[in-house]
Amino acid sequence: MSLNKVIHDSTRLRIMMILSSVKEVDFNFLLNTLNLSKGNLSSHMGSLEKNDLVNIQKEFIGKIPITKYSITENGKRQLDLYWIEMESIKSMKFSK
Amino acid sequence: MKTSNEEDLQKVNKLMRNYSTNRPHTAIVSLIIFGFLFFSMFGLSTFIGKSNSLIIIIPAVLFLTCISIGLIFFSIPKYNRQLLSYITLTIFKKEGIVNNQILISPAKKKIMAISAGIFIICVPLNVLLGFFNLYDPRYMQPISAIYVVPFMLVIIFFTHPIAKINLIWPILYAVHAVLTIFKIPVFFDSQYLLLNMSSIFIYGLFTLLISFFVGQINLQKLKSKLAE
Repeated sequence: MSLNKVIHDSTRLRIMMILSSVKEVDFNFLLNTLNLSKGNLSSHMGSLEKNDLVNIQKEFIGKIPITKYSITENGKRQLDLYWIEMESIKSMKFSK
Repeated sequence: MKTSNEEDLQKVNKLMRNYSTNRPHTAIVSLIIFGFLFFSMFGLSTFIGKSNSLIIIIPAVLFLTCISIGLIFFSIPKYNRQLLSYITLTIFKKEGIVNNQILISPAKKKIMAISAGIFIICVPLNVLLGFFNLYDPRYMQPISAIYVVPFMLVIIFFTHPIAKINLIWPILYAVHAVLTIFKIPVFFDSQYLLLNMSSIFIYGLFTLLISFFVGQINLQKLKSKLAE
């Protein structure tokens, strides 16, 4: 049994939990809710995108640039798997 | 936050859903703009009706025309969507964008379209009937409640099935109509009877502000949970 190392990071797990609850959120929302620096958030989002866990969509509303993020089907599957694996680890601990 | 504590993270999920369903930012901006245009139209029409001087009437009519064009512009989602999003994003920049997934079945879409059609037909019909004094102006609001309340219920149940707070809006509007029928003045009486129609904006804004504060409470809880 191996936990998904990309999701297991606490910040990325928080991002995945937020994204799994809604259709999409933008960069500013994540930045202020998670209280991260811009560079840190960009780096985490890049890592999640590279592993096909999130989709990134860039657009303009008027002159305001917007970067929207949404969870991919693979991301949902991996997150579910992560919880199942966490549960198994927990039950293994108790059985010992 | 400890990654091993999945219960905390499940709580994050719940708070996020509660926040996203109580995020009426665009609706508040839209209602304030509509309210402003509506009150301006009403005020100007009354002013023009009472004024005798052409020097005052001509600019007032021109201004009224501009407001009417603005009202039409803001009534068409194709044109207003981008502008409303821009204004909302500028005002609530820090909160960014959160879009909730609302799946509306084709059957529900059909019911919504029919309700919107009935609503669009009934609004000018009610105004015309009132204009030609075919009924007591006192009953304009109660008569409007017959088509406004079902339309609101359809929209709330089909597009915001979790945000039950929004039900306050049609409930207050219906209560207002019943009180008016029993001749209990709620907001306006005598010569300002027609202003009772503005109750749709007053109750709307009240409901949206409650929803906004509920959303903000959930957002604060979410932030503190994420910071643990």
